[in-house]
Amino acid sequence: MPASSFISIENLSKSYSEGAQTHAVLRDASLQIERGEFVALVGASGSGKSTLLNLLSGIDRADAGAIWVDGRNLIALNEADRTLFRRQHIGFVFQFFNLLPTLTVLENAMLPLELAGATAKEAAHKARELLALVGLGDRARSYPDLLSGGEQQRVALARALVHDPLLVLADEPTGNLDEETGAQVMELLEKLTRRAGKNLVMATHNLDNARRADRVIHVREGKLVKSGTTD
Amino acid sequence: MRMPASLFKVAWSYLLAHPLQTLLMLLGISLGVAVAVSVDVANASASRAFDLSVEAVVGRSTHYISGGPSGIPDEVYANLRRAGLGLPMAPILSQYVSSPELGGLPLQLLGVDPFSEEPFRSYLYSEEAQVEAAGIGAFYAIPGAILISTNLAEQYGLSAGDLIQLNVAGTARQGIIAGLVEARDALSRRALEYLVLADLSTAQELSGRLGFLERIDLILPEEGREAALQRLEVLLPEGMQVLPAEGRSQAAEQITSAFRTNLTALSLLGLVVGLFLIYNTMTFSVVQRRQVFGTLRALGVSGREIFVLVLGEALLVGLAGSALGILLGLLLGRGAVDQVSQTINDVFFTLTVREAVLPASSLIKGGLLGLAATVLAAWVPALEAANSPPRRILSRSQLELLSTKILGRAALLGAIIAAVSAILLATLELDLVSSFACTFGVTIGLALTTPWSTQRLMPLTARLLGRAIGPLGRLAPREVSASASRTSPATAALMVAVAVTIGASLMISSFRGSVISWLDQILSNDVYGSVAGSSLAEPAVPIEPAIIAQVEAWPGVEAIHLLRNIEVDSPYGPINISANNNPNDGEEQIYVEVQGSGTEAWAAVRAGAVMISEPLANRLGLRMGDSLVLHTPQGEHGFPIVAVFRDYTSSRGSVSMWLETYRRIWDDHAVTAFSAGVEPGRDVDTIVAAMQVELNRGQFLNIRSNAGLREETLEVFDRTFVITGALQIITTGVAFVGVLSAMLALQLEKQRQMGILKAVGLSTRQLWELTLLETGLIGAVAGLLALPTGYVIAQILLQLINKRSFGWSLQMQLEAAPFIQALLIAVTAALLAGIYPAYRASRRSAAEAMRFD
Repeated sequence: MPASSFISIENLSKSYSEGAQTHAVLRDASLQIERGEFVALVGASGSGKSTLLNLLSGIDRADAGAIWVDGRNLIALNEADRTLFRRQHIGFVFQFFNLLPTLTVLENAMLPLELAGATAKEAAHKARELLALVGLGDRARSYPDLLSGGEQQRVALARALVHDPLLVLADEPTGNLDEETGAQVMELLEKLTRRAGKNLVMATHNLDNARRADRVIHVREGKLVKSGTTD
Repeated sequence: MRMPASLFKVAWSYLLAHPLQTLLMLLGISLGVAVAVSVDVANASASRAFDLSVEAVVGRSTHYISGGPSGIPDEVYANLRRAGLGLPMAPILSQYVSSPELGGLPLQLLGVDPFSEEPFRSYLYSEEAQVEAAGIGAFYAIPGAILISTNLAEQYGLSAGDLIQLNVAGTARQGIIAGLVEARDALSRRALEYLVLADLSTAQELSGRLGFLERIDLILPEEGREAALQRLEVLLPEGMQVLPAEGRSQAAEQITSAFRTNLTALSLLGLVVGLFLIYNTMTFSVVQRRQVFGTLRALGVSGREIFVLVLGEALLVGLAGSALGILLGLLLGRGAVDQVSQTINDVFFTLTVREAVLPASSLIKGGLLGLAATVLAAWVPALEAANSPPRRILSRSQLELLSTKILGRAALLGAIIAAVSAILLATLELDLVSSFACTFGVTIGLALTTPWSTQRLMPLTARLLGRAIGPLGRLAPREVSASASRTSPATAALMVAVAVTIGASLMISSFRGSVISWLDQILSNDVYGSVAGSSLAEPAVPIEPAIIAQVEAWPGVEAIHLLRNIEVDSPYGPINISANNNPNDGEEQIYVEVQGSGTEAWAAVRAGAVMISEPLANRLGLRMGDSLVLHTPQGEHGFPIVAVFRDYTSSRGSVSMWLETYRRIWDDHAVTAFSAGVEPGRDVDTIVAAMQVELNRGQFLNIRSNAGLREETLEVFDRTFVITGALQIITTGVAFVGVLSAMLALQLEKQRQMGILKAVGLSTRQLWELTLLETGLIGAVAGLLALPTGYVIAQILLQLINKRSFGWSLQMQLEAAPFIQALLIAVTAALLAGIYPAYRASRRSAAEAMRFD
């Protein structure tokens, strides 16, 4: 049964095998997220934040439970359909930027659109717009190697938003940046997602970043134990 | 230098933790070693087999008396005996025979005088030799009595007293096994296995040469040899001469050495391609552990220790790979021995010994080659590892920048090596081994420019493919270019393998084309005949005169031309004469050089001059206008050379002479082949079929139509190159393993990147497309660069190597097929190599892939 919330996580479990042992990362996790909401996931390393993001994006598969996004149960989709869903509706921002070193800034930003079938012209047009928004309009032809960490993460933001996704997932987006640059990037991420009316789910250790969220979820030993704000 | 045990653990665990990489490296080394070992075993075996055949026949003789084509009359031997020279002498008559009861393979019938044999060939008389007493008596007493070895008898289930059919000079005779000979040691046993011994008079009867000997073997003492020679020469009638025995085996060694060198060179190529593979894997293992080495250096491990560690690792794999290669080589060697023996039988001479002892030296050589190749290939990566700066961790882009610089330098070095090798080849008269070394220089030099060229080609490819197929088209070429340190050796290895395939295919097709146009030119008659079982190229067994008369009188036969093929002695060693009475022969040849027109030159031949074939001219260094000296019954005689003609019959070469001239000088009226023209309107095939029935009543003849002979010649030609094809396939196989290993390495390193791509929406299908596009590009680049390289190799093989090996100059016949095939091979091999890496990448979830770092 589809849930009424825009995103509904129901009794989600995920474990990894390590030799003969099984290590549970998420246990019976449930969460409802409304359209346009910005949710921060906080918790210790290994608590299951990144795993939850991976499951939400469909790049990993849950052992049990359901994930409803805009009326579709991701758990019921096969690999190909999950890829299609991700391609069209998810934007990802990683801690280590994860730009492709062999593509230029513009090409990195164009990639999700092009993979989804847009023409090079359309994709370039949209990517340039986004790059201008993140303040890198003049670096389109540069390769990621020559950019600072903050600049690389801004390209990653452009890449995450270029295809107009329903949901932006950010995994420690400032974890690899200094405080000042991190704050600038966070500012930009929040601004762009809120302005476009997108949902943002962000895993973070940084309490300042978490405070920006509409709601903060604590992830502890695989359970979503508390919801509210950090205050 | 004492190294802590934990350091060895670093090496050992790495090999164990990456079993696929280790396995591929093992495979690369073992395939390379296997090819080298198998060809060496085949070559050594053929060489040993020949030595054994010669040893069995020549025994301990130092010299022999030759009577030329017509042989030595019995009286000459009797006179020499009576002269009381006090020299050991043994009359010999040998002849190739076959028997259906003995597998139908060629055997050597050796007619001997048992009373003179003891000092020469010990197998009949040594204490250990066991010839059944009853057999020895029968050996002299019963007509057709022969002795064979116990081994041969056991092999075919024969025993003393059995009757067998012996095909001698195309005629079926009956022989009776009078006894069995047991050899004293393994070597003699193998030599004896293919001998049929008979009393001299029995051999004369069987071969239809009553009253004649082939030669008289002599043992001349070292002291007073000159005096003995002089005394002998006084006693010998005109036309007979004393020749050293060793010349016989040396000539054969020389004849086949070029063939064997060619095979060795081709086999070493497999190892060279394997070398790239080892380099590839070792470089990757070093790059993959750059952090580990950096940390070790920071902890105080010296650069030298790391060098030893990496080299030791390589040696360990090299040792295992070489051992595996030797085993594989022995298996492949069986096939190679058959192929090499077959080619020697087809093209050079009858080899009766088909299987020789396994030479231990081949195995040791193979093992050492494998180890040396491993050390050579691992040296640079080990040095790189040793120079890892403590704690400095190079980023991928820094590494690639470094490798871009190295690629530029490698390309420059490669261009210099290729240019110097080409200049040496073009300007100096190098021997065969040096020519091959320079050919390797050209190939390896061009291979070194491959990675640089790949990098230069990729940006353009990215633009074109990007426009055509979108982001994957842009991404794949850039990945190939950016991963140069990983993909270059594989691309170069594949390029070398494919270029050599093009070179060899072009050479073979050009060679085949030359042979076909030559056959078109020389085969002007309709029907050809020679004695069955004699060599196709140089039929030397005489046809019975009655049969010639029958052919001459055959209804519908217009004209018959006769040929006498015979080996005569000369100051240069034995030389093959082809004497014929075809008045138009001058017009039917293709000339390298000729005095006047072909017709004019042939008129000179009819007046006593000769024409020589191109291989003979090259071998003896003779040209038109020179004089060819031959030993004749009247003494040495110089024949003016009026032309040098193209001839692909044999690499030994031959002399073309007017039949009447030959008959006048050598007093030999035998005919070994005939060709006949058929009246217009008559069906050639019907005549050939009728002749095959009618003429094959006494002597077995091979009678073929023009088309049949062409077909048979081309069959032999194709058979000769079977082993070349097999070696090419294995070399391409090694290159394939190289690309597979490089792609796996690359895929392992790009796991995280694949994860990112999946996270941003790359579908499984697109992942397959991307991986296969990358490997396909590597294949396409290797294939494209192989086209000019292959052309250059073909030119060298045709213009230089063939000429120096066999004396043939061949015209390049450019065809599109070898180029297209090569390009397809390269792309297919690369695409196949991409399947497993793509499969692995597609099976891994994006989340799992991104956890890898």
